[in-house]
Amino acid sequence: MVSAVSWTPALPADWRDFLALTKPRVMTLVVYTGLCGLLAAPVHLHPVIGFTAVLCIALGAGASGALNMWYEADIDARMRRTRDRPLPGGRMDRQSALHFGVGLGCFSVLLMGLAVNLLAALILTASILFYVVIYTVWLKRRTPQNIVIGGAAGAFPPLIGWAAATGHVALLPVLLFALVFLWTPPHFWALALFVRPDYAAAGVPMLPVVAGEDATRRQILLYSLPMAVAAVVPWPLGLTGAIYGIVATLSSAWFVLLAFRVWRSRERDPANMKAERRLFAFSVLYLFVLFGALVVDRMLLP
Amino acid sequence: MTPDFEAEYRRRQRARAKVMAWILAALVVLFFAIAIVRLSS
Repeated sequence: MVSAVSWTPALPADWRDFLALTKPRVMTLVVYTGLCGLLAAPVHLHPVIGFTAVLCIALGAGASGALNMWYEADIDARMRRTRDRPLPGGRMDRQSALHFGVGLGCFSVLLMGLAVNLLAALILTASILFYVVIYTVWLKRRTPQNIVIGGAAGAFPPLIGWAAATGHVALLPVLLFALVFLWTPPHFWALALFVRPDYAAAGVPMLPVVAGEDATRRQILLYSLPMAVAAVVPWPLGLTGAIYGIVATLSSAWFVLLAFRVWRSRERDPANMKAERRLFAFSVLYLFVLFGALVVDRMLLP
Repeated sequence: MTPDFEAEYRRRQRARAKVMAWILAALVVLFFAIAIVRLSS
Protein backbone atom coordinates (compact mmCIF):
# COMPACT_ATOMS: atom_id res chain seq x y z
CA MET A 1 0.00 0.00 0.00
CA VAL A 2 1.35 3.45 -0.85
CA SER A 3 0.82 6.17 1.66
CA ALA A 4 0.87 9.85 0.86
CA VAL A 5 3.50 11.61 2.93
CA SER A 6 3.68 15.38 2.99
CA TRP A 7 7.28 16.50 2.38
CA THR A 8 8.65 19.98 2.88
CA PRO A 9 12.02 20.78 1.32
CA ALA A 10 14.62 22.56 3.46
CA LEU A 11 15.20 26.22 2.74
CA PRO A 12 18.18 26.74 0.44
CA ALA A 13 21.09 28.39 2.25
CA ASP A 14 21.33 32.14 1.89
CA TRP A 15 24.25 33.42 -0.22
CA ARG A 16 25.55 35.23 2.88
CA ASP A 17 26.00 31.85 4.55
CA PHE A 18 28.24 30.73 1.69
CA LEU A 19 30.22 33.91 2.17
CA ALA A 20 30.49 33.19 5.92
CA LEU A 21 31.90 29.72 5.09
CA THR A 22 34.95 31.39 3.55
CA LYS A 23 35.91 33.01 6.91
CA PRO A 24 36.18 36.54 5.47
CA ARG A 25 38.05 37.94 8.49
CA VAL A 26 40.78 35.32 8.27
CA MET A 27 40.86 35.86 4.53
CA THR A 28 41.68 39.55 5.07
CA LEU A 29 45.07 38.71 6.59
CA VAL A 30 45.73 35.98 4.02
CA VAL A 31 44.98 38.31 1.11
CA TYR A 32 47.04 41.09 2.67
CA THR A 33 50.16 38.96 3.23
CA GLY A 34 49.76 37.41 -0.24
CA LEU A 35 49.45 40.86 -1.83
CA CYS A 36 52.48 42.12 0.10
CA GLY A 37 54.52 39.07 -0.98
CA LEU A 38 53.57 39.88 -4.55
CA LEU A 39 54.37 43.61 -4.26
CA ALA A 40 57.67 42.93 -2.48
CA ALA A 41 58.93 40.84 -5.40
CA PRO A 42 61.56 42.63 -7.49
CA VAL A 43 59.69 42.31 -10.80
CA HIS A 44 56.85 44.12 -12.51
CA LEU A 45 53.68 42.07 -12.82
CA HIS A 46 50.79 43.22 -15.00
CA PRO A 47 47.99 44.49 -12.71
CA VAL A 48 45.43 42.11 -14.26
CA ILE A 49 47.66 39.09 -13.56
CA GLY A 50 48.48 40.44 -10.09
CA PHE A 51 44.80 40.90 -9.32
CA THR A 52 44.10 37.36 -10.57
CA ALA A 53 46.85 35.95 -8.35
CA VAL A 54 45.48 37.71 -5.25
CA LEU A 55 41.95 36.61 -6.19
CA CYS A 56 43.15 33.00 -6.42
CA ILE A 57 44.85 33.27 -3.02
CA ALA A 58 41.58 34.63 -1.56
CA LEU A 59 39.49 31.90 -3.21
CA GLY A 60 41.93 29.21 -2.04
CA ALA A 61 41.74 30.56 1.51
CA GLY A 62 37.95 30.65 1.24
CA ALA A 63 37.90 27.04 0.06
CA SER A 64 40.12 26.02 2.98
CA GLY A 65 37.79 27.81 5.41
CA ALA A 66 34.70 26.17 3.91
CA LEU A 67 36.22 22.68 4.07
CA ASN A 68 37.39 23.35 7.63
CA MET A 69 33.84 24.31 8.65
CA TRP A 70 32.45 21.28 6.82
CA TYR A 71 34.72 18.92 8.76
CA GLU A 72 34.49 20.69 12.13
CA ALA A 73 30.75 21.32 12.34
CA ASP A 74 30.55 19.13 15.46
CA ILE A 75 33.31 21.06 17.26
CA ASP A 76 31.90 24.42 16.15
CA ALA A 77 28.51 23.49 17.63
CA ARG A 78 30.11 23.07 21.08
CA MET A 79 32.00 26.39 21.11
CA ARG A 80 30.34 29.69 21.93
CA ARG A 81 32.60 31.54 19.49
CA THR A 82 31.60 29.34 16.53
CA ARG A 83 28.19 27.85 17.24
CA ASP A 84 26.35 30.37 15.06
CA ARG A 85 28.30 29.44 11.94
CA PRO A 86 26.13 28.28 8.98
CA LEU A 87 26.46 24.52 9.63
CA PRO A 88 26.03 24.32 13.44
CA GLY A 89 23.42 27.08 13.14
CA GLY A 90 21.38 24.74 10.91
CA ARG A 91 21.23 27.21 8.02
CA MET A 92 23.06 24.97 5.53
CA ASP A 93 23.41 21.24 4.88
CA ARG A 94 26.89 19.69 5.05
CA GLN A 95 26.86 18.51 1.45
CA SER A 96 26.44 22.08 0.16
CA ALA A 97 29.43 23.19 2.23
CA LEU A 98 31.54 20.29 0.93
CA HIS A 99 30.62 20.94 -2.72
CA PHE A 100 31.22 24.67 -2.31
CA GLY A 101 34.64 24.14 -0.69
CA VAL A 102 35.87 21.56 -3.21
CA GLY A 103 34.55 23.57 -6.16
CA LEU A 104 36.09 26.82 -4.96
CA GLY A 105 39.44 25.13 -4.22
CA CYS A 106 39.65 23.46 -7.65
CA PHE A 107 38.65 26.68 -9.39
CA SER A 108 41.26 28.77 -7.55
CA VAL A 109 44.07 26.33 -8.38
CA LEU A 110 43.04 25.97 -12.03
CA LEU A 111 42.77 29.73 -12.50
CA MET A 112 46.15 30.29 -10.81
CA GLY A 113 47.79 27.63 -13.01
CA LEU A 114 46.27 28.88 -16.27
CA ALA A 115 46.42 32.65 -15.74
CA VAL A 116 49.46 33.14 -13.49
CA ASN A 117 51.99 30.28 -13.33
CA LEU A 118 52.36 26.63 -12.37
CA LEU A 119 54.59 27.13 -9.31
CA ALA A 120 52.09 29.52 -7.67
CA ALA A 121 49.31 27.00 -8.41
CA LEU A 122 51.34 24.17 -6.85
CA ILE A 123 52.05 26.15 -3.66
CA LEU A 124 48.38 27.19 -3.49
CA THR A 125 47.37 23.52 -3.77
CA ALA A 126 49.83 22.62 -1.01
CA SER A 127 48.46 25.37 1.26
CA ILE A 128 44.83 24.24 0.80
CA LEU A 129 45.70 20.56 1.35
CA PHE A 130 47.90 21.42 4.34
CA TYR A 131 45.13 23.38 6.04
CA VAL A 132 42.37 20.89 5.30
CA VAL A 133 44.13 17.51 5.53
CA ILE A 134 47.15 18.05 7.82
CA TYR A 135 45.68 20.65 10.19
CA THR A 136 41.91 20.15 10.21
CA VAL A 137 41.58 16.41 9.70
CA TRP A 138 44.82 15.06 11.15
CA LEU A 139 46.28 17.35 13.81
CA LYS A 140 43.59 19.54 15.35
CA ARG A 141 41.79 16.86 17.36
CA ARG A 142 44.92 14.84 18.17
CA THR A 143 47.73 17.00 19.45
CA PRO A 144 48.38 20.30 21.24
CA GLN A 145 51.01 20.90 18.55
CA ASN A 146 48.10 21.34 16.10
CA ILE A 147 48.62 25.02 15.44
CA VAL A 148 52.43 24.80 15.48
CA ILE A 149 52.50 22.54 12.43
CA GLY A 150 49.17 23.78 11.08
CA GLY A 151 50.54 27.31 11.20
CA ALA A 152 52.41 26.54 7.99
CA ALA A 153 49.09 26.68 6.12
CA GLY A 154 48.67 30.35 6.97
CA ALA A 155 52.30 31.06 6.16
CA PHE A 156 52.01 30.14 2.48
CA PRO A 157 50.34 33.33 1.07
CA PRO A 158 53.47 35.57 0.91
CA LEU A 159 55.29 32.67 -0.73
CA ILE A 160 52.45 32.28 -3.25
CA GLY A 161 52.40 36.02 -3.93
CA TRP A 162 56.15 36.05 -4.58
CA ALA A 163 55.98 32.92 -6.76
CA ALA A 164 53.09 34.46 -8.72
CA ALA A 165 55.20 37.54 -9.49
CA THR A 166 58.57 35.90 -10.19
CA GLY A 167 57.87 32.27 -11.06
CA HIS A 168 60.37 31.07 -8.46
CA VAL A 169 61.04 31.07 -4.70
CA ALA A 170 63.81 33.12 -3.04
CA LEU A 171 65.22 33.59 0.47
CA LEU A 172 63.07 36.63 1.40
CA PRO A 173 59.68 34.90 0.88
CA VAL A 174 61.02 31.84 2.73
CA LEU A 175 61.87 34.12 5.68
CA LEU A 176 58.38 35.65 5.44
CA PHE A 177 57.01 32.10 5.53
CA ALA A 178 59.10 31.42 8.65
CA LEU A 179 57.89 34.66 10.22
CA VAL A 180 54.18 33.82 9.84
CA PHE A 181 54.86 30.19 10.81
CA LEU A 182 56.55 31.25 14.07
CA TRP A 183 54.00 34.04 14.68
CA THR A 184 51.05 31.60 14.60
CA PRO A 185 51.66 29.78 17.94
CA PRO A 186 51.96 32.95 20.13
CA HIS A 187 48.97 34.45 18.30
CA PHE A 188 46.67 31.43 18.74
CA TRP A 189 47.88 30.44 22.21
CA ALA A 190 47.22 33.99 23.47
CA LEU A 191 43.66 33.56 22.17
CA ALA A 192 43.44 30.00 23.52
CA LEU A 193 44.37 31.20 27.02
CA PHE A 194 41.33 33.44 27.36
CA VAL A 195 38.89 31.15 25.49
CA ARG A 196 40.23 27.99 27.19
CA PRO A 197 36.83 26.91 28.60
CA ASP A 198 35.45 26.93 25.05
CA TYR A 199 38.21 24.67 23.72
CA ALA A 200 37.95 22.39 26.75
CA ALA A 201 34.17 22.03 26.25
CA ALA A 202 34.71 21.17 22.58
CA GLY A 203 37.41 18.59 23.41
CA VAL A 204 40.04 20.33 21.28
CA PRO A 205 43.50 19.58 22.76
CA MET A 206 44.80 23.15 22.64
CA LEU A 207 47.95 23.70 24.69
CA PRO A 208 46.28 25.56 27.62
CA VAL A 209 43.76 22.69 27.93
CA VAL A 210 46.37 19.92 27.81
CA ALA A 211 49.51 21.43 29.38
CA GLY A 212 48.05 24.23 31.50
CA GLU A 213 48.31 28.00 31.45
CA ASP A 214 51.87 28.42 32.74
CA ALA A 215 53.35 26.03 30.17
CA THR A 216 51.43 27.85 27.42
CA ARG A 217 52.70 31.23 28.60
CA ARG A 218 56.29 29.90 28.54
CA GLN A 219 55.80 28.54 25.00
CA ILE A 220 54.39 31.89 23.84
CA LEU A 221 57.56 33.65 24.97
CA LEU A 222 59.81 30.92 23.54
CA TYR A 223 58.17 31.11 20.09
CA SER A 224 58.15 34.90 20.01
CA LEU A 225 61.98 35.01 20.18
CA PRO A 226 62.76 33.11 16.93
CA MET A 227 59.76 34.90 15.38
CA ALA A 228 61.41 38.25 16.14
CA VAL A 229 64.67 36.98 14.62
CA ALA A 230 62.88 35.84 11.45
CA ALA A 231 61.20 39.26 11.25
CA VAL A 232 64.37 41.32 11.62
CA VAL A 233 66.96 39.15 9.82
CA PRO A 234 66.02 40.20 6.21
CA TRP A 235 67.50 43.63 7.01
CA PRO A 236 71.07 42.59 8.03
CA LEU A 237 71.04 40.07 5.17
CA GLY A 238 70.51 42.97 2.77
CA LEU A 239 67.17 41.65 1.51
CA THR A 240 65.29 44.76 2.66
CA GLY A 241 66.10 48.37 3.44
CA ALA A 242 66.19 50.40 6.62
CA ILE A 243 62.46 51.27 6.63
CA TYR A 244 61.50 47.64 7.01
CA GLY A 245 64.46 46.98 9.32
CA ILE A 246 63.57 49.71 11.80
CA VAL A 247 59.83 48.92 11.79
CA ALA A 248 60.57 45.19 12.20
CA THR A 249 63.02 45.79 15.05
CA LEU A 250 60.71 48.12 17.01
CA SER A 251 57.49 46.15 16.48
CA SER A 252 59.20 42.81 17.20
CA ALA A 253 60.70 44.24 20.41
CA TRP A 254 57.20 45.35 21.45
CA PHE A 255 55.81 41.89 20.58
CA VAL A 256 58.48 40.18 22.72
CA LEU A 257 57.79 42.62 25.58
CA LEU A 258 54.06 41.77 25.46
CA ALA A 259 54.94 38.05 25.34
CA PHE A 260 57.20 38.61 28.36
CA ARG A 261 54.27 40.18 30.25
CA VAL A 262 52.11 37.17 29.34
CA TRP A 263 54.86 34.87 30.66
CA ARG A 264 54.94 36.77 33.97
CA SER A 265 51.15 36.81 34.33
CA ARG A 266 49.59 34.27 36.69
CA GLU A 267 45.98 35.27 36.02
CA ARG A 268 43.59 32.29 36.09
CA ASP A 269 40.30 34.01 35.25
CA PRO A 270 39.92 34.28 31.43
CA ALA A 271 37.82 37.44 31.86
CA ASN A 272 40.77 39.22 33.50
CA MET A 273 43.54 38.08 31.15
CA LYS A 274 44.53 41.56 30.00
CA ALA A 275 48.13 40.69 29.02
CA GLU A 276 46.92 37.82 26.81
CA ARG A 277 44.22 39.95 25.15
CA ARG A 278 46.75 42.72 24.55
CA LEU A 279 49.22 40.32 22.92
CA PHE A 280 46.48 38.77 20.76
CA ALA A 281 45.26 42.18 19.55
CA PHE A 282 48.80 43.42 18.89
CA SER A 283 49.79 40.22 17.07
CA VAL A 284 47.26 40.95 14.31
CA LEU A 285 48.42 44.57 14.01
CA TYR A 286 52.04 43.36 14.04
CA LEU A 287 51.70 41.36 10.83
CA PHE A 288 49.80 44.16 9.10
CA VAL A 289 52.47 46.71 10.04
CA LEU A 290 55.39 44.44 9.17
CA PHE A 291 54.14 43.45 5.73
CA GLY A 292 53.06 47.03 5.04
CA ALA A 293 56.57 48.24 5.92
CA LEU A 294 58.04 45.63 3.58
CA VAL A 295 56.04 46.98 0.63
CA VAL A 296 56.75 50.64 1.50
CA ASP A 297 60.43 49.77 1.85
CA ARG A 298 60.45 48.09 -1.56
CA MET A 299 58.68 51.02 -3.22
CA LEU A 300 60.59 53.89 -1.63
CA LEU A 301 64.15 52.63 -1.49
CA PRO A 302 66.24 51.99 -4.61
CA MET B 1 4.58 24.09 1.89
CA THR B 2 2.94 27.14 3.42
CA PRO B 3 2.70 30.37 1.38
CA ASP B 4 5.18 32.09 3.71
CA PHE B 5 7.67 29.24 3.38
CA GLU B 6 7.33 29.21 -0.39
CA ALA B 7 7.83 32.99 -0.56
CA GLU B 8 11.03 32.72 1.50
CA TYR B 9 12.17 29.77 -0.62
CA ARG B 10 11.71 31.75 -3.83
CA ARG B 11 13.35 34.86 -2.32
CA ARG B 12 16.48 32.93 -1.44
CA GLN B 13 16.57 31.26 -4.85
CA ARG B 14 16.30 34.65 -6.57
CA ALA B 15 18.98 36.19 -4.33
CA ARG B 16 21.39 33.30 -5.03
CA ALA B 17 20.70 33.47 -8.77
CA LYS B 18 21.41 37.21 -8.78
CA VAL B 19 24.71 36.79 -6.91
CA MET B 20 25.72 33.98 -9.25
CA ALA B 21 24.90 36.14 -12.27
CA TRP B 22 27.09 38.98 -10.95
CA ILE B 23 29.95 36.56 -10.27
CA LEU B 24 29.71 35.04 -13.76
CA ALA B 25 29.62 38.49 -15.36
CA ALA B 26 32.72 39.51 -13.36
CA LEU B 27 34.50 36.32 -14.45
CA VAL B 28 33.67 37.00 -18.11
CA VAL B 29 35.33 40.42 -17.78
CA LEU B 30 38.31 38.95 -15.89
CA PHE B 31 38.90 36.12 -18.39
CA PHE B 32 38.66 38.60 -21.27
CA ALA B 33 41.23 40.86 -19.57
CA ILE B 34 43.55 37.90 -18.86
CA ALA B 35 43.30 36.77 -22.49
CA ILE B 36 44.18 40.26 -23.77
CA VAL B 37 47.16 40.56 -21.39
CA ARG B 38 48.46 37.08 -22.22
CA LEU B 39 48.05 37.59 -25.99
CA SER B 40 49.82 40.95 -25.92
CA SER B 41 52.79 39.77 -23.81
